[in-house]
Amino acid sequence: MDLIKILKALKLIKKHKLKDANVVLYGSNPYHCGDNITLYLKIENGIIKDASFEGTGCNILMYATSKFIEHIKGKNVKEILELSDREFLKEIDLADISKSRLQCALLPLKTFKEKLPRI
Amino acid sequence: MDVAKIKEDFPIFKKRKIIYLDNAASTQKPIQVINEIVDFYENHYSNIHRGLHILSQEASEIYEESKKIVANFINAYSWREIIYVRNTTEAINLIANTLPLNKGDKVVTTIMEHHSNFLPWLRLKKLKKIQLEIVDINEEQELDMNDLEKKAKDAKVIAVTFVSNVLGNINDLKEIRRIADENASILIVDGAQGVPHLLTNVKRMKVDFLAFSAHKMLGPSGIGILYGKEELLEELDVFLVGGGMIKDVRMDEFVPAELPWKFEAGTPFIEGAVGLKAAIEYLTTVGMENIEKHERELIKLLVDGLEEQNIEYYGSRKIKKRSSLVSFNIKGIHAHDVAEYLNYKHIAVRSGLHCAHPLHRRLNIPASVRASVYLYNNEEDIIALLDALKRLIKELNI
Ligand SMILES: Cc1ncc(COP(=O)(O)O)c(C=O)c1O
Repeated sequence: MDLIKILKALKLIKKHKLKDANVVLYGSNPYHCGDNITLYLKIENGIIKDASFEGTGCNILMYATSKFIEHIKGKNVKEILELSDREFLKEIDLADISKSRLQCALLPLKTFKEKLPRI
Repeated sequence: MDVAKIKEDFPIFKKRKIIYLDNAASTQKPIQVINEIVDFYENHYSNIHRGLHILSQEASEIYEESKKIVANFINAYSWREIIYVRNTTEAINLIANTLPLNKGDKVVTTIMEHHSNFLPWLRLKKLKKIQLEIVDINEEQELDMNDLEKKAKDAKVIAVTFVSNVLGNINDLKEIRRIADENASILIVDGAQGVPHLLTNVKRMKVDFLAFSAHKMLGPSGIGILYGKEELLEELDVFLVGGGMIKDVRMDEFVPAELPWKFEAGTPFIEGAVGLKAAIEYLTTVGMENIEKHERELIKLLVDGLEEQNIEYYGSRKIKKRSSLVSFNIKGIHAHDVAEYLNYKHIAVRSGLHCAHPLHRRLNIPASVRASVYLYNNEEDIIALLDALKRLIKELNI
């Protein structure tokens, strides 16, 4: 993981609210962190048609969330629910992230998996 | 004070390549402390409370000796005023749970407290319906003494930190004591960040209760100290009950033991007391005034460097009012990312909310980076930190 590269990439990340979202998921890392994200999803027939996010927190979290949003667009909800932590980290180039930052990088996936209402 | 020689005493600095600036969280241990614990295990170990065999007698004596050294270190009236608990948090919980507080009684604390001097009172607000007042900070990011004076009116208890673990300010305990006296309030001081760095004299400071942790002052983690004025401790009800804390037990009643045993139920952390004793002997040999002076020089270097780089930092601008730590933020980079970058450069700092959520909300910041020094840190450590920050800012072009 190249921290500087990630920090630089952040400048290009756009956070916004998706106007026609039909699912909104809020996730936070409690205690020493205080970081939080909101995922806006437009899901139709089990397909994630569009997605965006807002939030405040550390740059790893912002980076991971923006990558997550990129990754899920157009995919099947079921496919994302089945995505393992390790696969996700690999997907976003954070496979070697330090243990203490794992919870930052995994928050978007965790939020999606835990907060998405089961239909 | 010979810092190079002091550093030699800490094995970890020979084994690990690290600039350790996370002393406010916990400190490293000198060989003298390590050896004394090993020696105790190898030569004297036993349970205390005066078993009749030789080892128990020795262990009991060593344990009491440790208390005498602590009493002397903070200039307590007697070693019987020294209660060993697990840490600062447990010490404050002990007082909050045993003080005879009733519905409507006023307890005053501050916005800058560590959660361990905040939650015990917040909980009493729910459990006993005490009236909890929280003193604010002023524009200088110092404790607002006018606010304290107002809120302390008729307070039963004033519970305040010696040194803020985020702002780095040393609170004016003399003035706080004056206000406490005016209202006949009990003064409880969280000494976790103060006692390890500043000469502490409970007689002169006239504190009623003082809590601190051995692990923040070269000693083992798992042993903390509650100092309380003897007559106040006598009045308090017992806290944990069971073995070791009684004089007599019958089928339907028990009589608590004398101080300090009344508050030490169960087998204590005996080897912790041994390590604490060695830690205090080490600190006393170096001299607390020397440590304070040395740390203030390092902190001055640090805040000057931060100012030069326009990095926002918190707490008093008056260097005389500051102790051994500085919290800061680089605009545009989250505290965790700064800390992680520094970790790559072998610099250990802490990032987050430092168990002070109310204060971070008050300062309107999501988190902060905290650098904290101790007697073994030197100017090169501070310069390395400042250089790394400079490089980070440059690399990111912010
Ligand atoms: C001001 C202050 N109070 C209390 C504590 C809690 O200390 P402990 O974790 O040893 O109970 C700390 C340390 O984190 C602190 O800095």
